Amino acid sequence: MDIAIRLLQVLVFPGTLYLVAMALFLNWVDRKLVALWQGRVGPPPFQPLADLIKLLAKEDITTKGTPAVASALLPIAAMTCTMTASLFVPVGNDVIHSFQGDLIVALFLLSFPSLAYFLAGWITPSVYGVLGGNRALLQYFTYEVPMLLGMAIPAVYSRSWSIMTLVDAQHGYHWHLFVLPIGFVVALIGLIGKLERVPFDIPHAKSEIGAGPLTEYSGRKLALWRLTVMLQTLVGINLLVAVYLGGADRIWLQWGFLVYLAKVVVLMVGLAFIQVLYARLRIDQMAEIGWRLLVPLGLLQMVVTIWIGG
Amino acid sequence: MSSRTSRSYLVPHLLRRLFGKRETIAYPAGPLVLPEAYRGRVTVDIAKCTGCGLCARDCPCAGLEVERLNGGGVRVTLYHDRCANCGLCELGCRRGAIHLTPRIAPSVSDLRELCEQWERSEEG
Amino acid sequence: MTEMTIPIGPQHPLLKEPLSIELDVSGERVVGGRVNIGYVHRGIERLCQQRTYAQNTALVERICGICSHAHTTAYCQAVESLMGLAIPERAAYIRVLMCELERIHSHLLWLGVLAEAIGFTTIFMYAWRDREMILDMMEELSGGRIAHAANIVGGVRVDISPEQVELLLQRLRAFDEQMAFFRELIDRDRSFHRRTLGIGRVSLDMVHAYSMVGPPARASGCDVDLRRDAPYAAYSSLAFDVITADGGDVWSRAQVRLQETIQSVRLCQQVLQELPEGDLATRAPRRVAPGEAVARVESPRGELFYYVRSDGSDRPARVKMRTPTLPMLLALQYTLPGLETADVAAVIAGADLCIACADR
Repeated sequence: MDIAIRLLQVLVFPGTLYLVAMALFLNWVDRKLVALWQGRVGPPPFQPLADLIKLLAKEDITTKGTPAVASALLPIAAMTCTMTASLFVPVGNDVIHSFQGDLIVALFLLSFPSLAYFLAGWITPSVYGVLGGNRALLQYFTYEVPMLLGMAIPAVYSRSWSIMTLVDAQHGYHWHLFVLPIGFVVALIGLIGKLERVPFDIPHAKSEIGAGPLTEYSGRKLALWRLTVMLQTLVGINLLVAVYLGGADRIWLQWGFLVYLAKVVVLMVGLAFIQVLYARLRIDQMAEIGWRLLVPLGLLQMVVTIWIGG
Repeated sequence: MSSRTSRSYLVPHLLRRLFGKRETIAYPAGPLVLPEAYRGRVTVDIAKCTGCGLCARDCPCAGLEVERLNGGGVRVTLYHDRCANCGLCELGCRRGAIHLTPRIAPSVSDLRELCEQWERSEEG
Repeated sequence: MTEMTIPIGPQHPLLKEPLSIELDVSGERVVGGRVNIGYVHRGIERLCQQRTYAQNTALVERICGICSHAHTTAYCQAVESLMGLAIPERAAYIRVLMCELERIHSHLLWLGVLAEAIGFTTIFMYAWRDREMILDMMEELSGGRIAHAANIVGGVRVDISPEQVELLLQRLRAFDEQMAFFRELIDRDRSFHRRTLGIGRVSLDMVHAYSMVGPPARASGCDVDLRRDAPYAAYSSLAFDVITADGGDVWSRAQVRLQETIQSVRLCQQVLQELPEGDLATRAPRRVAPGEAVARVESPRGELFYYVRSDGSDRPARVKMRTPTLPMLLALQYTLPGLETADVAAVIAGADLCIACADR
C-alpha cells in the first residue's frame, strides 16, 4: 500500500504529471504576460503543449558528426536530474522525500542540466553549437555560485539543510525574504542566470548564434530539451518559494496549496517582468555582474547571517 | 547619460500597454478595414471600356490583355498573379474603366482562377 | 584560444535580408571578416532597359521596400531632367511629404531591428507599433503601406484633400508625443547604453576613405545632407536642421536617426501647412531625346544616386543606381575586426543595411 501511494506521489502529484502540467502553465503565463506588456495578444493557454506536440511530430535529425547516443542521452539525463531534484522540493505542503541535506542534493542535481546543455552544444559540429556551448559553460560557472550562495544563506540562518525544515522555520510569516532580502535578490538573479533568461540569455542569443547549443536539435530531442528548460524553471521557482517565501506556510490542505500556487505565479510574473525590461547583456558584462556584484553581495549577506545568529 | 535608474521611463509604458488596447488585428477572425485609396484588386468596368489598350501598354508586368472582338465587342483579360498593384493601368485609362479597389485579391488553389476576364459583346 | 569561422548568413536570425558575413573569431574576439552580397540580385538595371520610362517607376519602386519612394523620386527626377520637365509646385511638396514619412518609418524600423539584435524585444515591439501610425498614414494617402506608387514621371499621382491635411496633422502631433519615449530610451536606458555606446566606432577619416553617406557618416561628424546641400523637390523652401554627432558609434547613429525622425515630423507639418494649390503632374512625353541625366536624393540611408541615359526611344538605354548601403558594407568589412563577437550583432543591425538596395 505504501509503495502504491509512493508511486502515485512520484508519478502524479506532486510528481511527474503535476510538474509537467505546471511547467507548461508557467511557460504560458510567461509568454502571455510578455506579450501583453508588449501590446500583443499572446498565445492561448494550450500553446506550450501544442508546441511540444508539434515538435514530437517533426523529423528527428542527428547531424553527421554528432555522436548519436550522446545526443540522445543528454536531454534524458537533464530531464531525469531535474525531476529527481524535484523529489525533495515541496509542492504546497507535500514533499515526496525529505531528509537532512536534501537541499544540497537538490542543488547538486539541478547543476547537471546546465552541464548537459553545454555538452549538447559541444558535441555538435556546428559553429553555433560550439560557441553556444562555450558561453553556456561560462555562464553556468558564473551563476551557479551566486545561486548556491543565495540558497545556502537561509540554511545557515535557520540551521538546517533540509528544505522542509526551512519551510517550517518560516511558519507564521517569518519568511526568510524579510530577514535576508539581499540573499533573496542574489538567489533570484542567480536563478535568472542559470535559467538563461533575459538579460542573461546569451548562450542562445537568437540574433547572434542561432539557437546556441540546441541549434542542431530537432523533433523529439528538441521537445525533450524544451520541456527540461520549462521544468528547470518550475523547480527553481519552487525552490525559491520554499526557501525564501515560506512555501505553503503550513496552511492546511487546499488553501495551503493555493497559497503556494499564488507565490509561484507571482515569482513567474516577476521573472517575466524582468524579461521585458532589459536588453540582453554581453558575456563579459554578464560575468562582471556575476563576479563583481552578486558574489560579494552574497558573501556579505552570508557574513551578516552568521553574525546575527538566528 | 544619466546615472539615475534607467527603468523608470519604461515601467509606466509597460503598465499602460498591459491594460490598453491590443495592437494585433485579429484578421480573419475580425474585420480588416482598408482605406478607400487602397490599391487592391484590379477590376474592369467593361461598359466604359473602348478597347484602346492603353492599360495593357502601360502595365509593367504584362498582366493585361485587351482584344477587340468581331462585332464591336471588347474582351479584357487580367492576370491577378502578375499584377503588382502599381496603378499605372488606372492612370493610363482615359475613360476610368479600370480601377483598383480596396479589396485584396483572394488566394486560390488553382492558378487558372487568378485569370479574370471581362467581355462586352457590342459597341456601347 | 579557439579559432573558428562563424557564418552569419546568408540565412541568419539577425539578418533581415540575405547577406553573407564570414567572421573569423578567436575566443570572443573577431579577427577578420568577409562580406559577400549578391543573394538578392535581380538585375533591375537590365530590366529597366526593357521597359518604358513610365513603367520603370513601378519597377524601380520595388528595388527596396523601405526606400521605395526615394528610388522613384530619384528616377523621376533624372528622367524629368532628361525631358526638360518642370514639375508643379504642389507635386514637389507632396513628394517631400512622402519622402519624409518614409524616412520616419525607415528609422523606426531600424530602431526595432537594432533592439531585436541586442535582445531588447520590448523596444522592437514598441518601435514597430509606432511605425504602424506612419504606415497607416501612407496607406490612406497613397493606397500602399510601403509601395506607394506616389511618383510618376512629371509629378505625383496622389492628392491630399483639406480634410486629410487636418487628419494628418492631428496624427503627426500624436506621433510626436510617442517620440519622447524613444528619446528617453536612447538618453537614459543603461542596458541600451551597454550594448551600443562605444561599439563599432567609425572615424571621420574612415568616412571619407569609404565615401560613407547618410546617418552613419553624419554620426561621425560629416556634415553633409543632400536636402540642404543639393536641394531637390521642395526642400529649398522648407526649414529643418541637419543632425550630426561625433561619437561614430552605434549609439551616436541611434541618436542621429532619432533626431532626424523628429526633424522629419517638423518637415511633414510644414509641408501640410504650406501645401500650395496646383496641378499634380506635367504631361510627360513618351519618347525622350538622346541625352543623359543624374539625380541625387537623400534616402533614409544616405545619398541615392541615379544615372539615366536615353537614346531617343521610349525605353532608357541605361539606368544606373548607386545605393547608400554599398559604401556602408565596405566600411563594415573594415569595422568588424577587433570587435567582441557579441557586438557584431549590434554593429550589423546598427549599420542599417538595405541589401535589397545594394544588390538591385
